[in-house]
Amino acid sequence: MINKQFVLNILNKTLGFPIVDLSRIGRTAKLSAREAFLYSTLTAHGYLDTTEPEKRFFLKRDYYRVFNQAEEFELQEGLMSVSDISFSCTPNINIVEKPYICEGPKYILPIEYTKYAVFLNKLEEISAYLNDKSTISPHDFIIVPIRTGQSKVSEFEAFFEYVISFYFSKLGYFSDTQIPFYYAVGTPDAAIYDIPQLREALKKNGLGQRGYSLIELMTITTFGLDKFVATESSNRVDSAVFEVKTIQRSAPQIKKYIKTGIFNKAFEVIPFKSNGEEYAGLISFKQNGSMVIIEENSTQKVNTKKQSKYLKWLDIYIKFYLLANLKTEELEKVSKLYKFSLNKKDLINFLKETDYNSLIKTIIKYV
Amino acid sequence: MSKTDDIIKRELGRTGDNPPLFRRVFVGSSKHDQKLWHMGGLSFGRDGVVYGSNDFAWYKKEKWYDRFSKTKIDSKPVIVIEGSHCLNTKSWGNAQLQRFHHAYGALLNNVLAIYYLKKGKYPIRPDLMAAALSASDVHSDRPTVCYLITDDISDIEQVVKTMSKYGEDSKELEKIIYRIKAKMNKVFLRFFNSKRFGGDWVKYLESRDVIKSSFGWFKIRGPRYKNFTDSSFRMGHIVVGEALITKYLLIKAGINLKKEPFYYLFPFLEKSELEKISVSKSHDKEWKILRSSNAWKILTVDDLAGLDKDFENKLRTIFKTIDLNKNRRMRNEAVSTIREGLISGEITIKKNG
Repeated sequence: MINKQFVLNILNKTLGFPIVDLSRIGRTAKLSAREAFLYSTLTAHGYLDTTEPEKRFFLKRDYYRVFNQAEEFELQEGLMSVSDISFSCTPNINIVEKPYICEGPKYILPIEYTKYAVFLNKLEEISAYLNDKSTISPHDFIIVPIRTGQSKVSEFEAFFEYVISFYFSKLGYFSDTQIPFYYAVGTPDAAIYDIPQLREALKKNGLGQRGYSLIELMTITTFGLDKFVATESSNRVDSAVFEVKTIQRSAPQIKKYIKTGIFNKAFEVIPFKSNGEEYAGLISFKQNGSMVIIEENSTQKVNTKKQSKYLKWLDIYIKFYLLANLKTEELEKVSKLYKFSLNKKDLINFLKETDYNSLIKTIIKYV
Repeated sequence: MSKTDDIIKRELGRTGDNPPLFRRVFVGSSKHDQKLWHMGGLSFGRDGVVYGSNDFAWYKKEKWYDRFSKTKIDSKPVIVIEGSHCLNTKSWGNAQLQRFHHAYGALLNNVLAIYYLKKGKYPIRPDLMAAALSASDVHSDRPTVCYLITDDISDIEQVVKTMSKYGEDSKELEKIIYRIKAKMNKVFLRFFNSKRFGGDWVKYLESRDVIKSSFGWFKIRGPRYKNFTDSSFRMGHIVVGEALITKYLLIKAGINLKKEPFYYLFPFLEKSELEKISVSKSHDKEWKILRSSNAWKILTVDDLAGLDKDFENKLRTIFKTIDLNKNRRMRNEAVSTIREGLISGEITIKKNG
């Protein structure tokens, strides 16, 4: 059953965040501001902020869209404003709007409720208490709303996408959720990629020896350098895809993603499920928050030509997230320095021609 | 809720609360916008019909009489916005029509309604501008309550800030709204007065498949049964958008719809199919709007008299199954035959139609 204890158990047991019991507030998981930024963005769980209409300030994965289809370069509104090729939504912009985003630490606070209006009142009460009686700011809390008395909890799919994304980035993978994919195939919930040249370039430039969620790749200039060292994993795969379900007990649409020939492994992510399907592996969670990985019986059939074409496109896609460390005026300077015009075509060509190392070197000048 | 809705909500949110105007928006819990205004949502209705959810609103903490629920509530909506990112999508033409009725619901409740189409590669359709201006004239006698359409976020910022500073019916707000309406009118007039139409309403309406016959005005569209029953088509949204835009263009053209009725003709549909859709879509918002309006009357092939027997047979058989995209010429020829028949009077409406 998905309840507040289960959420905290996963954050603690699977992801390793400490649990902190705050008097009159409740049990929370403690994260750094950077970790909390990723958590909030991937789960769409907002920062407590009673000046906002829903008493929380939301960041969403969708705000940072780049493309909407794999192997295509049709720039979408999101990270950039398409009409003038300027940055529209990046962590640099987010922290101007809400400076508290990069002040830490943050506390993940699950709250169970049955009526939304009562839940909003509860947020007001917590905020008032913190303002009057606590040294911790209300904005240091990220609220996890859990509707109880409901059999359907589809809102939690994004939470598990986050768990997968963070877990595998610690193992050295680059992860993404709600990834652009192929027309009429659908959008996988999460995917991970092994990109040694990117990992190497980050390491070379003092950015830690680990993988990242693509969202985190945008936070170098806002949250500073991260020296985190990944757990070494000897048997990495090139790519894997995940489909999360919290209501249904299977995710057969993953077969469509497997069929593309791009992924070496595929996993259904379904809490409390004990046996995997024959078409994919299974990642499940026990009530105590521990993660169980059941590998698939056989490896997926990869179309190496197609995979290589896809990964080549992915490189450009990822570089947009690295580029998002810059402010628009800095991007303009970069365009002058490297002699390209700020239009969609030239920008994409610049990213195609620039390797990870050179791009990261350019970006960290602005840290 | 589409992914781009969130981006638009974020952009609108930057204007912030401007006391006494406060925001109502749902980012965290997406389904709340589908609730009616008096229940805390962002949808508006009138006379038992609900007109779709909006993305954003500014409201005042004041008493307001909600015409739908016929109750007095504590939050008065003053600006309601429906946003779309469709000017950057391949389906930009149709997509603009699909949400016209969302903010329209707010206008019917005497609230300033804005349809914000985020600037993109494609332009806003001139007919949309004209229809919104016409709807404003019909439904509001307050200069600051109307239906605005813009692709400029600064228009919205100005409206919010001016209303906050000077009031809902202030001369200052009136000036800003007048300027936005003038901009809308200019877009329409540039198109309407172009060489193609030369300011001639009949020519202009014909270009939109709206034709004049001795019975009245016909808007011909080609949806088939499966277009309404397969949710991926969003046909309900398109058909409603077309109906409302046609209605307000006809009014703008000076036509009295009581004397010259507006017939919405679906020649590839049969009456029995229409009835089947009415049963299966009895709870569908768009279908309810379509069927409840007195401004138009829906006709099917069964309502037409004077059709050539072979042609009628084709409408009832072949046209139900062929791929109309691949056989566009065939479809256009069929529509053209009906159009010409209606104009010449060879095709008429059956007496019970």
